[in-house]
Amino acid sequence: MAKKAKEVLFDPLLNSNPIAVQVLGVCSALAVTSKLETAIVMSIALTVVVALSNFSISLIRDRIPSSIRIIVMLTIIASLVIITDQVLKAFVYDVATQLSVFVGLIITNCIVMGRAEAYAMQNEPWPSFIDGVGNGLGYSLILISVGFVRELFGAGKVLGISVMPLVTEGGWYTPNGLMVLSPAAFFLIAVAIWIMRTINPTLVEEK
Amino acid sequence: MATSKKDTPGYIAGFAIAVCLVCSLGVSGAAIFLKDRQTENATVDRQKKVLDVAGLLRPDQNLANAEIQGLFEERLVPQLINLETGEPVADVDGVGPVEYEPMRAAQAAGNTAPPNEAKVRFLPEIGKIYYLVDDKRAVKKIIIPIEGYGLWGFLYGYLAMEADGTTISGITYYKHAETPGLGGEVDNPVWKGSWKGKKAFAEGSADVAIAVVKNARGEHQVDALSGATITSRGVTNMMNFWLGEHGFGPFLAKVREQGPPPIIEAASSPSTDTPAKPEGT
Repeated sequence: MAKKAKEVLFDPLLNSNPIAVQVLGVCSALAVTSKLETAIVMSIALTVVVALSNFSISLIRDRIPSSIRIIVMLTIIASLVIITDQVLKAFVYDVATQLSVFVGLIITNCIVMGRAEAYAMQNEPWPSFIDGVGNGLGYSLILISVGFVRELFGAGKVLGISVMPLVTEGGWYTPNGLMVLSPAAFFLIAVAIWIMRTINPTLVEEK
Repeated sequence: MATSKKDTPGYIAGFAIAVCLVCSLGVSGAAIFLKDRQTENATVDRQKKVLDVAGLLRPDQNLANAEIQGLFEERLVPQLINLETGEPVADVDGVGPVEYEPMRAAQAAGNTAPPNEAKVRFLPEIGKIYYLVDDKRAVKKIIIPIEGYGLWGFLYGYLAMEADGTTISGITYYKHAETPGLGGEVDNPVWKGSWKGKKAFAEGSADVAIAVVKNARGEHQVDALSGATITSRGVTNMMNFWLGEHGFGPFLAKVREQGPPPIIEAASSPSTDTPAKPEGT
């Protein structure tokens, strides 16, 4: 059992990473990664939502009538997202205003629905919770790496602290304008997928 | 396969209602418990921006909410200005300068703005500015609110001017949705710094001269943001509107002639035995 929980937790980091392997939730990965801070807060928010939604859906999975199961899941997820958004606005206001609409869009993030339908409906609450945390961490891994690279090369900063002083502020680094635009995240995610497939060739589809 | 109890319409309806009830309890509970904190955060965030544009706060300075509110109340005095005449007023229908929200009032009253390039939709009759005062409550700076359309949406901010009514001492935006790295550079401290010392009006005239242009030169021009022509134009447009005849133009013209009008002190407490007396009418 202990070994299984570990597998459930760590598998989504590399072997079945929701963004790089399942290619889910890419939309928010483009939108909130121009700065590391927003990427981190978004990662935490999503991890909490997936874990809790998996847990609560699994808790009532035997009672959900199958004809309305999707809408029930959505209701639970939407409620959790609204609560998360409220908490962010109350405690990290600055970041919440930067994340703006994207916290709300966790509702439509395929990772959350995907895990609820694929895992939480068939498994006990506790493993479902772990699965949610694992998938959240897998998402976070990609989001935080992309955010790190984009902020570093796009603004010469890490978490708002100047690492490579910009030309405009009297330093030497000319920022890469592409990095602050959304397409940069596409390139970086593609690179992440490439690396993962090189490390683990079983991920490559058969021709 | 026999339909189980789970698939009867009654059970489905009951289940749906139960889920909705539980979820709505959670959501409304969170909303009620966190509301005070959220409104406080939003207010403090606005106050922080005003302090920032007044030059009292470095953007990297981390002050607690209470400190910001303290500093704000000590050094910044809200004043109400009749936009058309440029005269200060004490209150709007009994609402004092602290509580009065000009844009909300304009929207509620349906006062549409004259057609303008800044795409401002509603224009209040009475506007709200802030005076930055020193220990002796002498007016040091005038801070006026500005808003207008950029590339993706409205930019909301403040412009700080010296007490001469034309020299700009700072600009800041507290809310906008411009592209990070391009139009979003309106938040760049270096660009904001380039406004300092510029003159908003042409010498001896009421014409708004300040403009955001490429290769800026002279005391009326600020360098455009590279890669953000439309945002830069939006900033120029909102300057034209808010410093112009429909905005704070008449008030600032008076300030240039006679200096800032004396501060109308707000009634210290909302007690009703001393009705606020209208001044300058």
